[in-house]
Amino acid sequence: MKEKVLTRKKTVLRRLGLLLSVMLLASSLSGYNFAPRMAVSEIADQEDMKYYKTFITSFPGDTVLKRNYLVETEEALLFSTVGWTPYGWMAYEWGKIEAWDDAPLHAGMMSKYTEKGNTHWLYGRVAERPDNLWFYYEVKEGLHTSRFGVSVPEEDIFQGENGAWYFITAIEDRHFDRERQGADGEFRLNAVKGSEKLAGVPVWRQSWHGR
Amino acid sequence: MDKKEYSRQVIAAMRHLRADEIAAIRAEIEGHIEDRMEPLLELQGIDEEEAQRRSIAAMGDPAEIGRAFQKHYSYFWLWVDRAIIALIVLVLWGTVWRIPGHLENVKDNLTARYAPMSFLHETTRKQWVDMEVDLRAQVGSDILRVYAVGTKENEATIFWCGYDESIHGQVGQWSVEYEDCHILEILVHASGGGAYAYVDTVEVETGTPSVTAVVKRYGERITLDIPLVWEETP
Repeated sequence: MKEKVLTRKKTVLRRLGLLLSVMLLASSLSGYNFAPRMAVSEIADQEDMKYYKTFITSFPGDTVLKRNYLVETEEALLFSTVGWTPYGWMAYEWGKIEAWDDAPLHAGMMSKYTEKGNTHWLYGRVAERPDNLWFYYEVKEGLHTSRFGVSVPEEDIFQGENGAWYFITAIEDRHFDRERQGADGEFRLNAVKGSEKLAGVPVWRQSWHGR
Repeated sequence: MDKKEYSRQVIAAMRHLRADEIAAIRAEIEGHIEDRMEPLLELQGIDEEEAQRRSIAAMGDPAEIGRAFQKHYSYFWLWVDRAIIALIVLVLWGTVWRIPGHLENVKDNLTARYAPMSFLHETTRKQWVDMEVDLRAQVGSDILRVYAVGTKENEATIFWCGYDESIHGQVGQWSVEYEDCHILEILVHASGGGAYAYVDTVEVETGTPSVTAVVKRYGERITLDIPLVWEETP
């Protein structure tokens, strides 16, 4: 019997069906992240962060294939850098701060150390729009004291759908000690409005070393 | 020119054909030629060679036939098809590529679940472990498991691991503190996605019956009482 040759359109439809099946299988095996949010969700699930409230995305480079996410839940704020690879969307590095209390300010820092340089992503949430978000670092070692301070640029502060204010900013090429993790009181953030200090908190810090 | 040569010339006038399409076009053209030959052979008694020559001549210019066929084989759908094939390959490759890492996580998870002592080196086991225990506490979707303890003068060593309750899951970020105890040393024996294993040495007064491990997470305070056994001093 002569085998019927499918038209190209029908072949495409059949192949689309196969693609959908493969995608379904890959998704169910957590094998492939088709969307950047899937990569972030993977981390959020791992951290038991459910019921996502807000996703704020910023694009650190000049490409849409690399982006930053700030995910908020009832319990925590998760900051993650996500990029596209041939293996799907991947969360490269991430940092989490607990934000379950009603504190007016929460701040975290995710530091990435590479051979090319260091980037320290400062992120968090502030209840009220401040005039200034002032990050500073002070560490005493013997007689020597290292100090550094910088304001979060206006454009790096966003308002979420819930009215709260969020910030993601990059501090480039500062050589903060990689081993200093967590909220040891040496990294702090103050929110100031007019001459009044709205809040001041230690910055919870996590660092990654990669390429 | 015979029918094979004619169909070859028709196909030569076309571009970007799949192998199955070439076979189908060849069969169709040769079928048309045979259909034309049939009455010539049966009714007019013309010999096969002549019947084939006349039939081919009636078919017309092969290049023109080829161009007419080409309209039914759109480049657009061909490239869409190739793009889909590329996507399928990419997704399969991406999925397969993650399998070794996933298996490593499953292995760590199973080790934490069923054989946590294998996180430790033989000498560590002999030198520090006094008693194997199996104490577990739920930390969100993860499990904190204390699997062994050891004591020395004014020191207790707690061997614990954390793993996700699903063997495919990854353990979250959390740490253990000890109620009213100062941590002297923390050693990491595994810190993969599937599980982590720590050995904490804490300062306690000799003879203290137990220490309480505490995990603080999202405002919740999870505690686990760990009994301590002390060698009686002569």
